Amino acid sequence: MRVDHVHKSYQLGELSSFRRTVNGLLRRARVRSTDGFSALDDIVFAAEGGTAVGLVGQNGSGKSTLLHMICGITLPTSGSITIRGKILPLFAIGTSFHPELTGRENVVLFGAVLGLRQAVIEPQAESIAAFAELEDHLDTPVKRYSDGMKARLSFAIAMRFPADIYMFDEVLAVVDAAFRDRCLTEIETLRDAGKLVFFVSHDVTQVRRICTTTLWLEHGRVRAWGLTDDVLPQYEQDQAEHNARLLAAERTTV
Amino acid sequence: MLETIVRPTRARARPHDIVLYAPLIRVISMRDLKARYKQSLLGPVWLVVQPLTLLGAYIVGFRGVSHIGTGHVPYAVFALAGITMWAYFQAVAVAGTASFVSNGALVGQTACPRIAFPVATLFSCLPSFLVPLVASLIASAATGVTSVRWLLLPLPALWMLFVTAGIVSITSSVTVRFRDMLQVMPFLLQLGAFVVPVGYPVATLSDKLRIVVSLNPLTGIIEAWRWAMLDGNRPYMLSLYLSLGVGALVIALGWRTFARAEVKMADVL
Repeated sequence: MRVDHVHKSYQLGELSSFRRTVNGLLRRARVRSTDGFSALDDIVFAAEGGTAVGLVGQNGSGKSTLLHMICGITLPTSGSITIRGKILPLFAIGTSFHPELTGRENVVLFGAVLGLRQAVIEPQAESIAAFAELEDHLDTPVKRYSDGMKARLSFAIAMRFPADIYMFDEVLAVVDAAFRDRCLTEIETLRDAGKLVFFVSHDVTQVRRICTTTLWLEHGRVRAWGLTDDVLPQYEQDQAEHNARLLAAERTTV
Repeated sequence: MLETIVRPTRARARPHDIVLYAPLIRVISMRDLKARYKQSLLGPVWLVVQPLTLLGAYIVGFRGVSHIGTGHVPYAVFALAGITMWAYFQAVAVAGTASFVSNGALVGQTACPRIAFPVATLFSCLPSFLVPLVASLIASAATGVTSVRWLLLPLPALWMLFVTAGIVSITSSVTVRFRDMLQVMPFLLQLGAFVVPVGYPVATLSDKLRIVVSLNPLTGIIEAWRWAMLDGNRPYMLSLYLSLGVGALVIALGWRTFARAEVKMADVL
């Protein structure tokens, strides 16, 4: 896939408010439209199957926005993104889960949302339950699941349903270390099988383990893009300097 | 392999998406149906209580107070026929208008085709149509008001589905941007139950009022439905023509509104 000079800006503040409507009607104050906020600025990069791309950057640097756009959830303000293949995104745990439905029913829902046919989804249900270690709970409503169980189910679904591009946006935080390890191994398998994987994490060790290339975003711009071994040390050093500065500032104010 | 290009566009949804994503729409309708009645003791009872209450209100208001005439058809049977159509419209209007807002997580976090949400409500609200329909058919048969025209009933029913889809496309898209719509809908529907000729024939209105009321595409549908259902007189023909014309406009406008709102939905919701 290829990202071509993509920009994304948003309006700040509330989109509609009663006060603005009234002001506008009474022509009291000049109705100023809300300020713009540039979430992404001139992003350019490309990636092929068989690689895992790490996405690092501080909170608010635009990582999720970029991934949302690649999926087509939101459109860029300018620029274009070209993708080949089907995308399977895991942005937050259990977003497509409906709490009243059982695990099994939610698996079917997730598969349908992905565009898979019933004939492809049904046989995978048991295999998904096995991977998630949830065989006994598959027919209980999801609202009874713990966060960890929901995370395991989401992961199992992602691992078993077919796609060409996978996106994991900071979803490994909630699960225990053993399951996390299994997931990381599975992701490596996906990568080696020729799929394209996007992996967002604040945990640098995970990124180093799985990702061949890394994209570092800062305030919506590409700060660095290249092999993980080249980019990660720069990122880590920057983080360390940033933390040191924060600590120093705290000490002076105290 | 399928190649997709994501770039800024005015609208990207296409009408044939509805056919393409039919399996998804089916899954979402089933999900809504199940969710609505799981863990509810009285769930299905409301399907009966709501139309019955409206019937009661009509009998008191139109028959008792205004002495509306409905020919040789008993008033209750007449009203029940109209209520069958209205109950469906009302259910879809409420559920459909909120469809994007209530599926906010799916809209914002997955690449789920958004047309699926309002279209799914067209199907998940079918029980609200079927329950009064059965009651209406039984009541008609019991009072000897049966007709071979019953075979024509699917026609106005289908047109009702399309027009409702058009209306809900507009209201649901507007709701994403202006949540006021959620408050306005129940109020509009309360008005509609009396402004739309559900409990009285169009013929009882004055000439000018008939035309005004016929501008609403639902009027013609209900008139046609009643004509096919009951052994009645000719329906008010202008309402049928206007229903087709205005209805087609509403459907076209509905699609356009949805397609344009769809691209911005994740940003605005």
